[in-house]
Amino acid sequence: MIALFQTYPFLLDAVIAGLVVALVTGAFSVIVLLQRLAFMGVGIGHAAFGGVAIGWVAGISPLGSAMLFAMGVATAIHWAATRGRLPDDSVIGIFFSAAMAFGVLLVGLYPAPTPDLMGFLFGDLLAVTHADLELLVPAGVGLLILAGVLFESWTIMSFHEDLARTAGLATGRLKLLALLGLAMATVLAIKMVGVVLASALLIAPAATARRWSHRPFVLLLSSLGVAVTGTLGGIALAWRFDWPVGATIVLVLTTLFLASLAFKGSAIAAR
Amino acid sequence: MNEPILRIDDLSVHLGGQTILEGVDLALSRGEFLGIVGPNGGGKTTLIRAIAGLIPITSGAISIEGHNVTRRRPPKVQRRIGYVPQRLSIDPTFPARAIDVVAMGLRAMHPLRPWLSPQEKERAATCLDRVEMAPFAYTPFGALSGGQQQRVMIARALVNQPALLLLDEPETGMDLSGQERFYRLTASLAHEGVGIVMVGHDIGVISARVDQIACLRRRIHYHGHRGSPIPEAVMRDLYGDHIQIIAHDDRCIGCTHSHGAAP
Repeated sequence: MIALFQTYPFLLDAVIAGLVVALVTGAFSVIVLLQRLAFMGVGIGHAAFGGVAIGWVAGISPLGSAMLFAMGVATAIHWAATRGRLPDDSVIGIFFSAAMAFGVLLVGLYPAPTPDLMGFLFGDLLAVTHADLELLVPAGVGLLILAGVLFESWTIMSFHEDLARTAGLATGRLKLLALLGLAMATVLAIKMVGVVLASALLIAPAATARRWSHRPFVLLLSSLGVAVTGTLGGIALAWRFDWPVGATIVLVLTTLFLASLAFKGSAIAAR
Repeated sequence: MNEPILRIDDLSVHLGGQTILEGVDLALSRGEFLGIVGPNGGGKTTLIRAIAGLIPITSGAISIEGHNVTRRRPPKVQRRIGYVPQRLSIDPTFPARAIDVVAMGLRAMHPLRPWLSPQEKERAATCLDRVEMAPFAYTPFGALSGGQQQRVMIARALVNQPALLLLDEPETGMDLSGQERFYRLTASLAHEGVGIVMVGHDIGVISARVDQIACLRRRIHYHGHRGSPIPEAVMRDLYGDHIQIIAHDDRCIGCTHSHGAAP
């Protein structure tokens, strides 16, 4: 293994990036599951394309601009949903289409040839650079700290928002922080599997782990395990058979999810 | 003089341009049990949510244990409230066991410290035992029946030893024996000095168990104490002329005692 990393140093960068993204998305997929934010993950993933386009046009890091742009879109969605008393999914639908349209417009107006569009649509983990890692690792560690500190509050809020408010938790701010964290996690996932497939990383780990997890903390640990297994397994298979890395990771996670359906431990039907 | 645990003065709540509550006055002493009845859409849940601090008050005042909480709620006062929301608002698939749901009430008080002290663990177990759910402590919440889930939610509300307990239709999903156990528990809590406000639909059952009853449809149409029957005119005003009132129980506050009335 060490020899492999010495021969192909970019593979080590890919594994480090993959591990960081797996841990972050594994943690945030629990919040996505408990808060029912799956469509939000899909929406922000697509909306981030607008930020990527800004990065290309402005000649700055597309990852950084995508992160800031996605956080802006998440804040706007939260604001519009709260102020307009509209269902979250309607607001998400409007904003993600608009943000993606904005990205397409920018790319259309950009006179130079479009940079690696396929890489951002479908990811290219093996193309991760040291510069990417310099942004990805601190952002990932920051997100993991945020998730660790607020996990309990997010869990309590997810069970019943009114009960959380009655206990004195600032649910509005907690929700906004969850959305901002999710936006950043989505952009990290984009680097690995692309805009189109990023939502899978934010849904599949916790959905898989939910089958046998009866407690939020167990769900968190299991989700982290599923995300890391799926990511490392995906990278290994992609390397071995020369498959596209992002798509392979997503298909490995999907296989784990399908296998979990055979697990009868906690098929709890809503009464 | 004994300070009321809850005092509501001239309370009005407007939501979405509509007046939901208007000129509501109520007071509750320690150990008293207040039942709130009225038709759907009459503002019962809004009143409970206003007392719990979940919706803004348009005018009037609310005091809890002598603290005016109309505009600002100090955490130490807010923590004196135990709240049980309507059962249908709870996600039954949430990944938690019964004991975890109760413990969540404690964790909410110190969310940055996710673990519980041994004393807190014991208190959570005691509360589950109090609602006769101890044998189901490690059962997934979603695998419990509706009535059992409701009892777990009551244990969760009790775990912080509230001075004021707010119950929004807590009997939903309970069978007759469950209701009997529930009212034994409320009697015991009232005996310990807990003030209880409960919203419900079954006037006959509630009025036989509470110390005060308030009939609410936007405003308080009637506020009676044990031993004072709700006038029939008030019942018709609340529910319409088509209703027929039959009393089954002499303890019923809200009923005209016409035993043997024709169906």
